Amino acid sequence: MTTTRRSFLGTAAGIGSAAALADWALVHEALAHAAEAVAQQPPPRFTHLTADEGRELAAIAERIVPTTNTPGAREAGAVFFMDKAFGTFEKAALPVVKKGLAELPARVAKRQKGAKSFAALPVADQDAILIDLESGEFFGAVRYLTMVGVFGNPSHGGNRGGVGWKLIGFEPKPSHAPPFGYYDAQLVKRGKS
Amino acid sequence: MTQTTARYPVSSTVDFVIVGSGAAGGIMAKELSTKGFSVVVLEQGPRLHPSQFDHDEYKFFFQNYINTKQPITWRETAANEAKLKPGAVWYAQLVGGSSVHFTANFWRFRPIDFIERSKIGAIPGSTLVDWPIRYEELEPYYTKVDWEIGVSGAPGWNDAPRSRPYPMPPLPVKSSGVLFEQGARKMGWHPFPAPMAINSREHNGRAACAQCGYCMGYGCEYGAKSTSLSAMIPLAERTGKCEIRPNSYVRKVEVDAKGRATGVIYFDGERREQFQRARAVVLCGNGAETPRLLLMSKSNRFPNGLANSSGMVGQNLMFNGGTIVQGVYEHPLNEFKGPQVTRIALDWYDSDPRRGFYGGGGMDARGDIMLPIMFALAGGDPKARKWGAAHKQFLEQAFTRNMSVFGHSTSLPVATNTITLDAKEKDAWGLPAIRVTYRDHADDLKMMKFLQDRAVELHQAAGAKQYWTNPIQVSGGTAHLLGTCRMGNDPKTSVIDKWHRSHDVKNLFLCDGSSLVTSGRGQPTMTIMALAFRAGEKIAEFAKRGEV
Repeated sequence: MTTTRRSFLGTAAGIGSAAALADWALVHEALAHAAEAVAQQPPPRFTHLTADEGRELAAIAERIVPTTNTPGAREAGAVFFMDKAFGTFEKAALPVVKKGLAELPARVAKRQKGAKSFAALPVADQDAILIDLESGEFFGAVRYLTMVGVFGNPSHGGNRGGVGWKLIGFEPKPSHAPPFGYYDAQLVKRGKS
Repeated sequence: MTQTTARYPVSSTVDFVIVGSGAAGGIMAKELSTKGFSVVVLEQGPRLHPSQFDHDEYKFFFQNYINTKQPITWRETAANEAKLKPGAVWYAQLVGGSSVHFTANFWRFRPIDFIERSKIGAIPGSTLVDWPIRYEELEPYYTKVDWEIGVSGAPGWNDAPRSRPYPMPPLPVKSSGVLFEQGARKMGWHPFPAPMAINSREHNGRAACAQCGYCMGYGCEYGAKSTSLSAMIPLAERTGKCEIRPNSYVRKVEVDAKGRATGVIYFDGERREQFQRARAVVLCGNGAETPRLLLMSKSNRFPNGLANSSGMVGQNLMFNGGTIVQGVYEHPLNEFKGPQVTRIALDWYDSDPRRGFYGGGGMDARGDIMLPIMFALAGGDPKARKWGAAHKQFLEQAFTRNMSVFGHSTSLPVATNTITLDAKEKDAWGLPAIRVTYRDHADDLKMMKFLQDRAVELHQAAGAKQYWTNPIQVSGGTAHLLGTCRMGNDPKTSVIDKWHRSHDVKNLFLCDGSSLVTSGRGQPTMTIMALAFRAGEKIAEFAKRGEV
């Protein structure tokens, strides 16, 4: 359990409700700090990826689960999950990912002459490239790894601070108790349980 | 009570060696050891402590922490080339077997399941036959499962006759159960509380369910799920007569010149070959590993594999049909909390000639993919792009509001649906991989479509905002492995007799999903367990009378 959180039951009734926004305000504050820290050099150190690969992979992950008015793959640190997992359970995916990343500059150059990297492209161009790639092995692997990096247990190196779970309303508690959701709560209210 | 756990030297001859410690093996071990026999249970997988059953979706679902990593090859028909298909046969490989990771739906079979062939006649393309036993003969053992393993529930519509009530009331209803019940009643159906092998209150010294939500595919760290590991193996070990030997991978049942089983050859945890001698051998692997082991146990005397004079070992593989219709509702259900299923309906249990095809089944509501990673990967409209801002917005909205309606149905036995030894692929010990050949009978697919249509009606009646259907396809994976060493009176058309003794080898018994003659309508584990209680009792009688 990475954060102590009150029940999401009340707030999840309307994501965007005042209560939920209050929660996200706190998150955003924390994120601002994190973003600032990231902006400070030196760039993050990776074990299995080069700094360039890490930056490009992070940029792809950020299009898969983009940061909108709520956190995304960036805040979850999905790329750090990937870097860690490439040394353990996802070893087999590393060559696929490296090959895919190596082929990226040609696609980037095709979209925009002189562009330095995928990460530096406007998001519309990034998305266009990913749509081209989406049925392939490389994108499939990165999509899968991003989802684990955003929504898996923080112990694996992603989903930092449980942001992915909070985003969708998952409560990582060792046990729960009824009422579980709106409809069984209503039933209890009506005294028909 | 580990201090009284038996330890037998490999060189000694025990009364029984049991291969497999799952739904059937755990019960067999308890039944035979409590009746005073010396028992060694050989389990392929490790022994885990309940504290190792943590809540980690990546570890359990993607790293296959407790699931088998056996290579599996797959083809639709013998004319196709079998190709590696990792994970297509999903069984748990640890002490307690798949009873550790099951979802815990415990439907009893109904009387019709045992006599359907004589009620409805032959079906083209199927080897459907009656069981050699009737529901009434198995009923006392279903009741043993209710009480000794531990089942929560309340009698529902068209309930199976029962000699004793449920030992525990149903688990608390979830939002999915409430919606399912409302929708089903609107449709004129008869929903009722799901019978679940999960303690709704303390039972037999085991804890009540903590509603953590990690049942399907996970072990229960609370011991509230009623498994062989939690309910049977401790009793077996307490006798001081039973040794559970994990990391023991059996490759052959050995037979002497007289055609009697003498024990089994296995690889221990250090991959050294060992021979465990026994007066009788009981195979309780599963519907894939048991026929595979028999087929690997070839000898001059049994050139087509052991206990296979009928040629039926590995044939008539059945899975149960399954269809899932995912829907999204206005308010949060939070399906990740609590056991997967709290309400079911069995209004379609009997095959109805007016439908124009054979088949029967039932439905439940559940959060089928109710954990974050799986939902992020696969939730929502199957045709929608599952990445990007729109998908993210969908996840934010729908994760807590998701509910699946799951249809469960019959699989007809078909002779050409089989488990055999792959000609090319090998497992980690250099032994032939499991090869699945499977194509659903046309009626099975029609029944799946029928239940998919009912699931759509349920979602509509329950007020779903959206729902999505997938085209019905032939099965491409399974957790149910049934029928591959079927029970019968005729040694020419079956592998074991009604007491689970192999027709060909007097002191070799088989009891697991492979024993089933028909598939039921889904949820086979309770029937496997009832068969194990019945077989264990009888095998002990045989042994006492010197008849093994």
